[in-house]
Amino acid sequence: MPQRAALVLVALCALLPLALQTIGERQVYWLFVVSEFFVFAIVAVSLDLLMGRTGQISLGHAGFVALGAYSAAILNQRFGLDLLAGMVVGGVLAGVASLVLGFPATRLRGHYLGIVTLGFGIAVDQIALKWDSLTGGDQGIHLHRPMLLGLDVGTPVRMYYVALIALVVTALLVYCLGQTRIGRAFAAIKDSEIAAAAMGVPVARTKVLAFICSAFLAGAAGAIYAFLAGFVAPENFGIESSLLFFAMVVVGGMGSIGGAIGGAVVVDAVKNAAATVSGLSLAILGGMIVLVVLFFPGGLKALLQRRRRAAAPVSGLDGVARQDA
Amino acid sequence: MTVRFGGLTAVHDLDLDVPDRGIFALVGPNGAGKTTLINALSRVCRQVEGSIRLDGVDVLSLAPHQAVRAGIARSFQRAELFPTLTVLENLLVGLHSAMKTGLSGALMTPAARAEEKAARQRAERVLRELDLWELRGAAPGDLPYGHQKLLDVARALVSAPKLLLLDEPFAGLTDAETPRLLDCISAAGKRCAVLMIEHHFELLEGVAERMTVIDFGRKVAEGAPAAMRDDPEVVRCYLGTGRERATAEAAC
Repeated sequence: MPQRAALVLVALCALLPLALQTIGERQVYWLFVVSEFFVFAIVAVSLDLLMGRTGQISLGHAGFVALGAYSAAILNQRFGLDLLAGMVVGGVLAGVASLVLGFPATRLRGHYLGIVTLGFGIAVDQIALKWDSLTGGDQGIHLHRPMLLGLDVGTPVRMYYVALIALVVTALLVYCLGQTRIGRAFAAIKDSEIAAAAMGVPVARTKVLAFICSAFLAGAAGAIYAFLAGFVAPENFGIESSLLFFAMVVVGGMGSIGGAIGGAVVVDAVKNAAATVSGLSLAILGGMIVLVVLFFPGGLKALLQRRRRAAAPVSGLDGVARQDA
Repeated sequence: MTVRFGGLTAVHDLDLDVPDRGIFALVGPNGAGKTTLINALSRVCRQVEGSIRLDGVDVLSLAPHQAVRAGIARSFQRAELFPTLTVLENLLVGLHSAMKTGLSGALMTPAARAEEKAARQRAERVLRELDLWELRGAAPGDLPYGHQKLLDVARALVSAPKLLLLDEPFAGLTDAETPRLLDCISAAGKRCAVLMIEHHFELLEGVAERMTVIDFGRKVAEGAPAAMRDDPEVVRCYLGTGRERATAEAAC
């Protein structure tokens, strides 16, 4: 059933540009808003892989998005790099950064990774601001028209589909990873580090691997964002953005792809709705995190599961039925 | 071997020799150092002096996660399961070392799928042996406690270890679950060495070949379970004298 719901949602998203044609000029704006949401949702899914699945916290995920966005933008501006290459380079650079940060931090138990990533998230946009010669400082960088494998994807509709496909591919990859040896090792570490090690999971190394995977996806999302906006500037990647991604995962309920995407919908909608009053969206987001943690610690994921269980009142063995279905 | 935590010596110069097949029991009062011994053998506890060897391999040179590959698997006193994974997935984590697929598994390559299929078949066999197959899709937290303990043992068994360490596997099991686990452990004892902590003398007399009694981290006695019952040292530190036992039973 969840698979069918996901398929329907993807189909609806694929048809959305057609529907938006009816509103004339304003469709460009709405296409951008939804495409931007797709990119944010990729980051939310990547962060959920780290936080929800593996139990490690990142408070500076926008730093990885920035790394991906800036590397794609710089290489595009100077060498005409295309979108796919930009995603790969951006993802790899973010992955390398996470390796450097994560290697010492994940050897320690507790929330050291959260602290290290917080520092990283604060530093990255400041570096982007101050390192004019490379990043253009507060002027930012304008990108050339996006090309993808020789194809011009420089229209709002085409970029919309690029972002949608990227989100679907990311969700599928993360879902499939969850069904494999590595994905199970991630979950085992979250549940019990001692038991995971006793089962042969190298705990520190596997945490770093989860961090690298997460950062890679965030970096690739950053590259897409750069091409989508056609412009990168430090203010898009501050600590506020990191908190935004954090809020998406918390509201989503942690540990589910659907929850992370749902959380991205809610948080992005709040952010856009409150964007006209400066500071208000952060206040609402902060309040939302507090409310969710206090009253719905399971987030959207738990709400959905509760509804599903209520719909099918089987005994404690409903998991068996689910597996067989 | 000796295990010290600061000023406390939990295991004191203990010498233990386990043949490569059979069931061996470790008994002793609370705080005797039984679990510490199991933790030392499975590399969960690192402050070990002395030497531990398995089939010529220096166990103390292994990282905790390498113990399984060397052939040491264990269960936990309070069934340390993975609650966010299903019953079947818990067993598959037990096969982590036996599998190789890395991140490429997410791409569902033919090699990854073949390995996954083989692992699932292996896990299925163990689950069927313990009558847990019907529950494979359930969350461990939804199972009764006894089933969780069975699952914990199953997860250790699935890697086909040379040395299986069980920390009070029967504690908390119902009368229906006990024979199931007993059969399973007996079968395992024919394939590998099983070292288990257990308090029930009656249970041990049926299955264990040898029993080591420890107290305050030292070996107090060793021998066949039947002989241990009357060993004066064992009675003193563990079973209690006849009068104490009678009082204890009356209190129950």
